[in-house]
Amino acid sequence: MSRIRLSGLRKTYGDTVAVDGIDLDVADGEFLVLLGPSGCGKSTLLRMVAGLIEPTDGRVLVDDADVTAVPPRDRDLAMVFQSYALYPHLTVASNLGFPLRVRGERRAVVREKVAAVAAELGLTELLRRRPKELSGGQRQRVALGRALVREPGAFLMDEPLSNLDAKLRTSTRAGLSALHRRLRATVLYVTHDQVEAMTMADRVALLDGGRLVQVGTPAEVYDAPATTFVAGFLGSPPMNLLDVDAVVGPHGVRARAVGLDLSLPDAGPGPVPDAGSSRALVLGVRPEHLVVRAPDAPDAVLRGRVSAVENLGSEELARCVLGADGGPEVTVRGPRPLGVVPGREVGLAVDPARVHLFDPDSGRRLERRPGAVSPAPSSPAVEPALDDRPLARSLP
Amino acid sequence: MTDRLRAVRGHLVLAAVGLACVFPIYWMYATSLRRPGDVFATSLLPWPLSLGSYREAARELDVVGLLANTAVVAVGVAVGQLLVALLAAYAFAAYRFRGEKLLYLAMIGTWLIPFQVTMLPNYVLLYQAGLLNTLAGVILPQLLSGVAVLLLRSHMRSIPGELLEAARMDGRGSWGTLWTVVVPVLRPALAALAILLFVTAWNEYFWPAMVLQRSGAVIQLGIRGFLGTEGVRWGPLMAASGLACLPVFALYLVLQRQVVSAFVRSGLR
Ligand SMILES: Nc1ncnc2c1ncn2[C@@H]1O[C@H](COP(=O)(O)OP(=O)(O)OP(=O)(O)O)[C@@H](O)[C@H]1O
Ligand SMILES: [Mg+2]
Repeated sequence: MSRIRLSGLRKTYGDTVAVDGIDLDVADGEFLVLLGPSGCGKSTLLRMVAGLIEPTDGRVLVDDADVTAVPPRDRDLAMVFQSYALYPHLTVASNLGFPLRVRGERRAVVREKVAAVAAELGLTELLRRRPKELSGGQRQRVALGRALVREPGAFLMDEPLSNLDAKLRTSTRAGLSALHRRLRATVLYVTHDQVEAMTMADRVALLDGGRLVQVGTPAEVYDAPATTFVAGFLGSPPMNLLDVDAVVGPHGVRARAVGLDLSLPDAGPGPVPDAGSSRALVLGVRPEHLVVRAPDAPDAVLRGRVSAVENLGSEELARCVLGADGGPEVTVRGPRPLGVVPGREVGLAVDPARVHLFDPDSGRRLERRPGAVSPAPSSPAVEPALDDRPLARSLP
Repeated sequence: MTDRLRAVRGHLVLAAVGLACVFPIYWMYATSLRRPGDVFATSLLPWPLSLGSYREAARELDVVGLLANTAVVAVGVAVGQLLVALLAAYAFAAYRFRGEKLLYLAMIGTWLIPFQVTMLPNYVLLYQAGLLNTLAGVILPQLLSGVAVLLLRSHMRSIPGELLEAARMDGRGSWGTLWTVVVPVLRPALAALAILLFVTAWNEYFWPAMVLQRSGAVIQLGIRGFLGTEGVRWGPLMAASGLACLPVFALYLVLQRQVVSAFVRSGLR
C-alpha cells in the first residue's frame, strides 16, 4: 500500500480559493478522513490527489514519487464516487472488470478477480444485472468492488455513503472499517458526516474554507479542539461556546458572564484571582459535561432557566437560557430523565478540567494546565502555537 | 361509461390522423401496382395487380444502380455527419480551450445559414477541386451538420461528470472514454440522430442534382425523368418512388426500438 503526501496544495478558481495550501501526510495503511462543512474544498482536494484536477500550486507525492504531473491512470489510486459512477450500459461483472480490461489483463485473470471481489462483497448473484436493476446499497458495493478489483496503492472515497439510508449507512460503515483492517489499505475518505469520521478514521483532518484546521485522532479532535470552528463542528449538539470576561492570574482563570461565574484553577498552589484587569475569552463546554443541579446549589456555576427539553430516547437535551431572559443559551445533554422542566430555574455544574478556552479573535485554543485533573493531551493543531505553558504566560 | 366513450373518441381521432398520414404512401404503392392502363383508376384496391410499372421503371432506369448510388451518398453523409458531430460535440462538452465559444457558434451558424447562400461557393469549390459529377462531391460539403453538433453536445453535457472521471481513473484516455463510455451511453440518441440524418440525406434532391447533373445520378434524379415535358408518367414514377422509400422503412424497422426510447427519454428529461 502507498503513502500519500501533500505539500502546499492549492487550487483557485478565479478569485475563489477552493483549497488553500494544504500539507498533509497519509501514512501507509492509514484511514484518514477529510471532514468539513459543504463547500470547504474536500472534493477539490481529493480530486487533486486523484489527478482529475490540476493543482494551482503545490505537490502530490505517492510513496515519495512526485505525481503532480502524472495522469490519473498512472497514479495507482482508485476512487469511489459519491454518485457511484457505474457504467450504465455494462453489467455488474463488466463494471467490476472494466479497470482490468482497460489495463489489458487476460480474460481469465479478469474473470477470476471479478469473481473473487464479487464473492467478497456479496455480489455474485448480481453479476449479470445492470446498474439500474440494483438497489442503492448494491450499487455502492459495485462501486467499491470496482476500486477493490484493481488492488490499488490507495483508495480515494468521496462521500461514498451519503446516498444510503441511515440503517444501511451504519452497516456499510462497519463493513468498510472491517475491510480496511483486513486489507491494511491506505484510505483517504471525504465526508461531511462527523459520525463517519469519528467511527472509521484513524485520523481526522478538519477543513474549513480550504484550510486544514486540525489533524488528529478522533479522540484528539473531539477532546481538544484546536479552534472554535472544530469545537462547534464536532459533537451533536456541538460544544457550547460562550463569550466571557476572564481575569487571568498566575494560578488560574476566573471567568464571568451573564449567569456564569467559574473558577478554573491551574496546577500548583495559589488562589484563583478574584478581581483584576479582565479580557474577553471564549469558553467552551460540551453539553454532556454539564450536570444539572438545584438552582441554589453551591457548585452550580451556571444558572438560568430551562427553555426546552428534547427527548432523544436514551438521553435528553435541555436548552437553558443563562441569567435573565435574552441571555446566552447552553445545551445540556444527559441520560433521560434529566429532571428538568421547561420554564423552571436550573443550576449547572461542570468539572473545570472539562472547560476549554479559546481566543476570541483568532478562535484558537488556549492551553491550560488544569489543577485537579491530569493534563489534557497537547493539541495536535496544524500550528502548535499554544503549547502547554500556563495560560497566564501564553497571553500577550 | 363516459371514460370509455372518451377513450373510444380519442382512438377514433388518432385513427383518422394515422390514416391521413399513411394514405398517401398507400396510394403511391397502390398506383404503382395497377396495370399501366389503370393508373388513373380511383378504386381503393389496385385490382388486377400488375408489376408493369415496375418493369417500365426498371427498363428506363438502372434502379439498382441508382439505389446503390443513393445509398452510398446517404450513408456517407449520415455516417460522416455523425462522426464529425460526435468528435466535435465531445470536444465541446469535455474540454475547455481557447476559441471554444467562437468555434461552437461557427458550427451552429452553418445550420442557420440557408443552403442557398452556400450552394454557389461550394459549387465553385467543387469545380476547382475537380469533384463535380462525383459522389464525393455530393458528400464532402455536407459533412458538418450544425444541428447534430448541437444535439450531441447537449446530450453529452447530460452525462454525469463523475462517469467520465471514473473512466479516467480506471485508465481510459479521452479517446477510449469516447468509444467505451460516451458512445454506448448515448446509443439511443445516436440512433435517433442517425435516422434523422440518413433520411434527410436520402431525400436530398437539389444538391445531388446540382453536383451530378450529367452522370450516374441518385434515385431522386432518376425519378425526375418521369416528370417529362410531355406529361407525368405516374406508373413508373410511383414504382420508382416506392422503391426509393424501402431503405428508409428498413432502417427505421431496424433502429425503431432505439429511436422510440430516445424520444420517450428526451420527453422525460
Ligand atoms: N469548477 C469550479 N469552478 C469554480 N468554483 C469551484 C469549482 N469547483 C469547486 N468550486 C468551489 O470551490 C469550493 C470547494 O468546492 P468542493 O466541491 O471541493 O467542496 P466540498 O467540500 O466537496 O463540498 P460538498 O461537501 O458540498 O461536496 C466551493 O466554494 C466551490 O464553489
Ligand atoms: Mg464534495
